[in-house]
Amino acid sequence: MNCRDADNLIQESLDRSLSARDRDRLDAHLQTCPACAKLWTEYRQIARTTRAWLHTAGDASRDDLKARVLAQIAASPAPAARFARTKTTLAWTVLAAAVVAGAFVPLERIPDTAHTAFTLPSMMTILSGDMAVLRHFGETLQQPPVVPVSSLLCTATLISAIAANVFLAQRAARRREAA
Amino acid sequence: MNAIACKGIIRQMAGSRSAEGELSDEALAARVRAHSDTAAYGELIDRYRVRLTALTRRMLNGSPEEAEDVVQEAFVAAYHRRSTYRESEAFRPWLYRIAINRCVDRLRVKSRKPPAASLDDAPEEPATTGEPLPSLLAAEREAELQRAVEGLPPKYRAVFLLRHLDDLSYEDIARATELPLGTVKTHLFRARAQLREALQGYLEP
Repeated sequence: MNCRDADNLIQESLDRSLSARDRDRLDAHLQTCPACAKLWTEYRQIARTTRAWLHTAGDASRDDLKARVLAQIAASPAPAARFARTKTTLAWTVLAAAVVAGAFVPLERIPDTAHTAFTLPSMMTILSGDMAVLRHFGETLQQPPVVPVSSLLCTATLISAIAANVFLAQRAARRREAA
Repeated sequence: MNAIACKGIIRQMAGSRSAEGELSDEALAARVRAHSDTAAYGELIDRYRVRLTALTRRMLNGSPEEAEDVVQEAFVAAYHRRSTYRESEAFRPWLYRIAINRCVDRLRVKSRKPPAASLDDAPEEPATTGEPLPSLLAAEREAELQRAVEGLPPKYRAVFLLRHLDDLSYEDIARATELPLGTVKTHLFRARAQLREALQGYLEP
């Protein structure tokens, strides 16, 4: 064994992570190498000094620490709870935005114009059982639907913006929770 | 203070081994996680406040009040992050990781600000009147150790302190510092070598 290997084994011996075989090898080397024996003595002194030095630092702990910690916990809502409230608010916002966006999606088919669409009022009339409207609705269903591109774009943009906001808010809340 | 006394004190400080009728740290942490049990959390605070205070005080090398603030922040943060504690993992490294991160954040803030002179920040000078010589030498060695530890990079400091504070294994230190196992050993060995150089002249032959 050379002195470089012995240095590593000395350090591991301080951490009690040496195998019995390595301990024997190290002991044999220390008996023949005064420099490594000195190194071993010095490292052990550092370990003892450090433990005593750490012990005196722990004495500074005040007895009322537990009371202060528990009082602070009781006084502040957990980040998890705040995040849950944020999620609920965002969910309602998304739902409201989806309903508003849906009101602008054309539903009524207008056979005599260049584009056809369906609207909510016509759907309500259909549901109320007006036979003339029902017949008209049946006729228009046979025609291929054409939804205005502008409506689709507006709806898609609105939903994308809401989704991005939800994602960014969730990420910010996760970061606050981790902090 | 001799080695046997130190080991006894450390064994007292290490309350994680469950005695008869006492729940282990992991069992208490599981209760806190599952039921937000503040009584169980209070028990954990009692077991760890001395060790956490020692760790933060020596990591920050600041005043006792500053260390207490950081310890309080760490305990509150650990409670709020109780859902991240996995019952299969040891509690000690998990708690120490939160405390170490708080200390590193505080050190980062301090390094940006110009140092304010304060008597509290001065290394503890040994008493020099009426003390027997061996105690004086030990006290001087501790004061020099404090200066030398302050010169270590934060990650070296954290690894070194965790090893000697609570006899944490290399694996537990790796979990607490979020470093690979090999890096833990490298940091620890280099920290010791650096401290040995700094303490030349204070060590007994």
